[in-house]
Amino acid sequence: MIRAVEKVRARLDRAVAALDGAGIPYAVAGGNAVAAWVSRVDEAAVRNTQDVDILLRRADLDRAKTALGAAGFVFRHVKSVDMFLDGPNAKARDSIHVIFAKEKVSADYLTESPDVTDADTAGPFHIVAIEPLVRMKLTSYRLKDQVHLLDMIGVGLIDETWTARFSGELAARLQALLDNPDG
Amino acid sequence: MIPKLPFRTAATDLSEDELRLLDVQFDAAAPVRSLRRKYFLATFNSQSHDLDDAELRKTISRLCERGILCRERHNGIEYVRMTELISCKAVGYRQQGVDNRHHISWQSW
Repeated sequence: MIRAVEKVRARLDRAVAALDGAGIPYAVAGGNAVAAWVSRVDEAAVRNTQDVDILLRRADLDRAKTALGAAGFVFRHVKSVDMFLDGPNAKARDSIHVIFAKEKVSADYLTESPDVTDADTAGPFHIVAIEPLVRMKLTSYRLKDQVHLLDMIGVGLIDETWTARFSGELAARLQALLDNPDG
Repeated sequence: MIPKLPFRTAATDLSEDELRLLDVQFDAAAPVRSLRRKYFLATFNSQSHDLDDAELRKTISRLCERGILCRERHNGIEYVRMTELISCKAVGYRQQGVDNRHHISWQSW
């Protein structure tokens, strides 16, 4: 398990180094972005994640293929998901998932993903800024997203004042989590 | 009865369901919601236990009574985590210069 955790971090580091080196704007999203934000409040509250999600502009995809390919990643488009496998024989779970900036992940999503410029650049890699990250999590709102939101509520990154930042269904989802965090 | 994962050492009387709950807490406290069977796989990318919500509550209570888990509440969210008694196994590793509390579980369960 330790090795697995280290491998995920190493994959993330290699990917962002390749993108940085090529001057391609990106922002880390998903569980690693949640972990990065949570770690700023309470390192002990950080849960490791296997998911490596990176926000890219579609216009930069070809350049990203070149840059990440040089770093050993192999691009695949599988079941409407764009990903970079960590080597030719890697499994899908050992990959970097691409989320396209300013697009909906799927047609039924309520909001688009943020742009890569909606990012915090203070840490070792660019991460989606906290408010757009919360919006992404409220939009996808899968079971794991609900737990990620709880992680951010638990360390105080989000509280009841945050519902005013969102409208309609997204605000209702956040309120539901705040009202009944234990499910 | 769910099958034991292959790396178990059989050095404990804990059930496989209990061990799976502990496995995923190697790095951080877990919100109780995330430990529910419905959420478990999605949250931890790990095979779930076989406990329904009522059994999960009882199991957590039993592990707390045994001093293996403890409950915490942060900003209204109920968490459980391994106690210091259990996670002190990590201290030896840290004293040896291994800066990683993640060595808690698989060495000993």
